[in-house]
Amino acid sequence: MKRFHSLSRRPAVALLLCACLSATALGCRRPHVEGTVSVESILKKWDQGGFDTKAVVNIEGDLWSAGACSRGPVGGLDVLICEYSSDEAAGVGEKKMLADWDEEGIPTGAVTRNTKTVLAIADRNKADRSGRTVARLGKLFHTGN
Amino acid sequence: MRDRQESTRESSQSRCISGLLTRVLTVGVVLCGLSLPALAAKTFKYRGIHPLPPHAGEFCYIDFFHVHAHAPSDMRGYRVLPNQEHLFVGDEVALGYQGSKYAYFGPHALTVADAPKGQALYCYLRGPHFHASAPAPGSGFLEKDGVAWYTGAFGPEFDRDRFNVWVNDVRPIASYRPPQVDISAAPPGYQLPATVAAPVIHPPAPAAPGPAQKGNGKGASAARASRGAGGSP
Repeated sequence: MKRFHSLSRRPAVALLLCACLSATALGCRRPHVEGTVSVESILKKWDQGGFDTKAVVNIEGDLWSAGACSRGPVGGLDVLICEYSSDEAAGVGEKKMLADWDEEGIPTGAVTRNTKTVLAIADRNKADRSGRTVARLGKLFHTGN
Repeated sequence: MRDRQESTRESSQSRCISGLLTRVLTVGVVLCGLSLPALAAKTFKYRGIHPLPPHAGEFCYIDFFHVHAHAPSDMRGYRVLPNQEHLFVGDEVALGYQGSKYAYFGPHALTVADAPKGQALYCYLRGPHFHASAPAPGSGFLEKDGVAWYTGAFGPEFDRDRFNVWVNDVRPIASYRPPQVDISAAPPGYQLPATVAAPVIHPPAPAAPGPAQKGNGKGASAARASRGAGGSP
């Protein structure tokens, strides 16, 4: 029964995979909040800057009170980008990120904002002790309009 | 017989002390276990680049807001902003920074992006030094032979916060060479503010310690206090 159930789901999974691959081929549309810097444009700048951003995926923004969020490893760091509809909401999101880091006792975490888009970079494994990679990602983030 | 009794008593005392030590150690370990997670859950806020502890040449190049799990190892080079952000205001090059650098002479106003309103910040370094950023245009500097000289006004905060002259006592890394310039190269009209221009009072040469002074460390404290007060008018 279980096997049958699993088999019956295969076409649906294949269809979903197909849709995802087509979306990737077309530029992989990410949810975007109007009026702020898009995750897409930031990832493009990072790609051009020599960073591999393929592992950055869309995630639910509810946890950070955001309209849209993407997260993944970039340059050995855990990167989170969230788009907000207002400065107040972005401020709330930033505070939540900082509170999480404080609770965790993170070795290094950096947060910066470009319009209503917030970038949070966590270096949990001390991969970037000098912070040069964080600084570079931050610089490109601010030119990502 | 008496020997045996004494031996038993000593053994009993030894067991008692040993038991007490074990209990003290157990309590200590439990307390440490309780307090360590609390300590680990603390992060410290930083604004901009800063030297990494233990100030042996390593530097953090994150030039925007960030947090670390460690506090600054030497507060003499830092200001704490109202939101508890630590801002490094010393000579970055003197503590290992590698990158663009700009030569300055003497104390000057600091330009801090998004600085709290009404809070003027100053650099209290007495002589030639470097910073990682150039003077902001129109902020009261005269540039002469590649060195920035501050000729603008000092607000009342400069005298109020003069304890910050202790930044001059921060020891640079061994490879550091300050800008090769002295006060004789100053542009016309330049004046060192009295707060930091006062001569440093050096303690008298140490005499042979008397029996009462030996090993009490008071001489060193007095010398430190004297150096700290050196800049006071």
